[in-house]
Amino acid sequence: MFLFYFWSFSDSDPFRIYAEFEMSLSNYRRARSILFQGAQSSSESSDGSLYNEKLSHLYHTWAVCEWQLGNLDRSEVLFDHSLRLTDAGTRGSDTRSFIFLSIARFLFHARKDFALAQHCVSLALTENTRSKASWMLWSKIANIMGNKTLSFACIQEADKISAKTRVENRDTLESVNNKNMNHMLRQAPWHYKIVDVNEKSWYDAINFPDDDLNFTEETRDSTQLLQETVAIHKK
Amino acid sequence: MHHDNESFDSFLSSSFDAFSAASALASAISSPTTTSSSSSRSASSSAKNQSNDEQTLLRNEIDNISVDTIEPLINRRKALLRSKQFSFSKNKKGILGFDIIDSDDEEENDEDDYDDADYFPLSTPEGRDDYLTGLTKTFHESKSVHQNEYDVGSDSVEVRDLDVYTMNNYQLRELYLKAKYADQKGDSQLSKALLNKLLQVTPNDTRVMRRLARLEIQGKNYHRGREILQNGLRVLPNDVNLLHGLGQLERKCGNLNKAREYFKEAIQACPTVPNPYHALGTLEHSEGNIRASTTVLRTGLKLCPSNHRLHHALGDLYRDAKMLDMAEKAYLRGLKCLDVDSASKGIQMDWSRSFFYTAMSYLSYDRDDKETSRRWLKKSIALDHNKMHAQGWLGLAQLEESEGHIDTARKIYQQGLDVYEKQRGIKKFKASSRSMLGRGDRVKPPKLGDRWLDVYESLIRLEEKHGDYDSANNVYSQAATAFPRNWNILSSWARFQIRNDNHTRARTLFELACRRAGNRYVLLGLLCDLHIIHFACCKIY
Repeated sequence: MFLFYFWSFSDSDPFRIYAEFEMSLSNYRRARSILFQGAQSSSESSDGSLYNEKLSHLYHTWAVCEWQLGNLDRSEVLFDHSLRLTDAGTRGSDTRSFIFLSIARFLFHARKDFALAQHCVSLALTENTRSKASWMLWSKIANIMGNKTLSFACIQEADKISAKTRVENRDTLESVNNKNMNHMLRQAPWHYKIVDVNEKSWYDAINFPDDDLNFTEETRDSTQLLQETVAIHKK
Repeated sequence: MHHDNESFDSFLSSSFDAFSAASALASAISSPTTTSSSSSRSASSSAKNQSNDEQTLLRNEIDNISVDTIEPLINRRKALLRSKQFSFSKNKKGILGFDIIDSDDEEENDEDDYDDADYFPLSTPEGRDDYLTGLTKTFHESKSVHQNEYDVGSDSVEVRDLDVYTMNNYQLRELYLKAKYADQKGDSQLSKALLNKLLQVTPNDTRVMRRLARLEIQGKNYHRGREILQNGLRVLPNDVNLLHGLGQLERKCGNLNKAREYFKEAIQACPTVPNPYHALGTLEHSEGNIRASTTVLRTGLKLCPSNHRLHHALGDLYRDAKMLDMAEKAYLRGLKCLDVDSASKGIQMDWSRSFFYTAMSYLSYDRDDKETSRRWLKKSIALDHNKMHAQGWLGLAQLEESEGHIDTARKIYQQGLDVYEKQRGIKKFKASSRSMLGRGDRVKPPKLGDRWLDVYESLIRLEEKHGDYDSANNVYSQAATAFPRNWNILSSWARFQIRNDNHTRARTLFELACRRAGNRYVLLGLLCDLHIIHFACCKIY
């Protein structure tokens, strides 16, 4: 049994989830150790080196953890590692969009490199145009860079997405895409009555350093930001 | 637990050397087969040659009857010819000279249990004397192998010492059967060990390759699984089972386009094998490509009209499209085929029948006839040879839950789990028991295609929603005991503890989940794991 037990293979998800839990309690050093072990364990396995979405998520969380600890250079390297592990095709599009958004947030808040942050946020939007958080961030960057018109346009886009999401929540066919098609078809007819089909994204559980700066869409209402920008624009 | 900065940086700089090397390797690993382009075209042109469905069905039935009657005669003739050192078999030969039968079908969710009796037809290149000597030896020595057929404990050390090169065909067949039973009983390590041994002497045997690849995929070792199948394809480039296996692998890895290509190639290689149609049809259905799915399944049914799985898949497709009458027709036709199949083979196919009954219950529910739906589900779990139909138990409980009968649903879940746990040898315990998780390694491993984890997960969801902390905690511990190697349950359990502000318990469970998921700790082996589990339980309770 020993011989064959040796050749089992690893999964990095439990390490990431465990680390995110520690990060939520502000135990960043402990989280880093867990992420380090997870990365080591997954990289050593036969699945660790090719496109590996789970390992990509783990590197992303580790990058945010290093950002929290103030190791900005290492954080940048880890974001890069995370990007490299995403699938090059449309399959990796969602993950890449989130990673670019995180890099943009990092460059904007930690490095204060607004031009590069703008570049990254536009890359995030290339991967997924329906990310409200990306439009909001771009608006903020444009605002700081003095481009009020662009800022205003970005907020309008964010608002459109909010409106669309509200409509989609009323069970219209627009909400059907390839990703949730699997949850809709070949299911028992009572599935919808008892199972919550809205899965939380892996990105939502991460504790970002700029969450305190009222960045996220939950804490910052786009309408409020729109009013502020319009006021500035008028001045 | 803490690491210094240097170790992090050195890891980061070194790890991506491995990534680049692996990328190069990945580009080197490419499919030996060419991409198909006109598989569906050829299939449809063949379909035109069929007059109509009924005639084909009838012809197939006649074929089955005649094959059953003639087969013993053919076997007798084979034996006579063999004694004259002559083999007339036109099939491909493995290196030992026995035929390679291309009719393997061993999907993870497979509903059919195929007979292995014709696995190693006794054609041999050896001389008559050698053959008789071997046969005599077999009847003297194979007794022990045969007696231990169902005793597939953890005798992997013995497997290492097996000398497969001195074995004769009969012994190899017994060895394959032993691997098969081990696989079905859930002892994948022993099964893998035996199949690896078999692969050394029968490198071109598609059954061994398929089963071994599936076991590797089950263990999430996708590269090894792919390697086995592609090696096989290099030797047998148009083997339908290998192509189908590769398609399943790519589907599991999320490479849907590649999966489609392999399924199409499999159809092109042998248009009368139903499994690739079923796999491609259900893939398209899951992805929402209803039209493509309908075309594939209908084409499949034109060429294999008596295949009940294709009828079932087509019925599902119609049901999702709310074409309920057509769905019913498809299901009933499938049940009819199943009856014919069952009668011709002389075996009860209750396993497949359960799936049809569950499908019929869904259909009744869609027609707003909940009582009939309930009746079908009860029927699906009351079949003589399959009282363990997880989907049936799950459906019945969920139906009650959806109607707001929470206590009834809970009762059904527990009833089902009692039957299941009794079969697996899981004893009842309280969640506060210290040795609770340690018991997991003493229970029988889950069988091939076991879907009972879904039942546990559904009960957990119900308890979290309608029950209290203790009831949900108990079900989590039941599930962790029944599936001791599954880290997902532990991870969910940890998150449940976080939601209930039990951070210490959450940490312990997370550490267990990490140990099970990572290969960092596996060197320590099973014994070490048991100690850790015991220690963890002491910490939790």
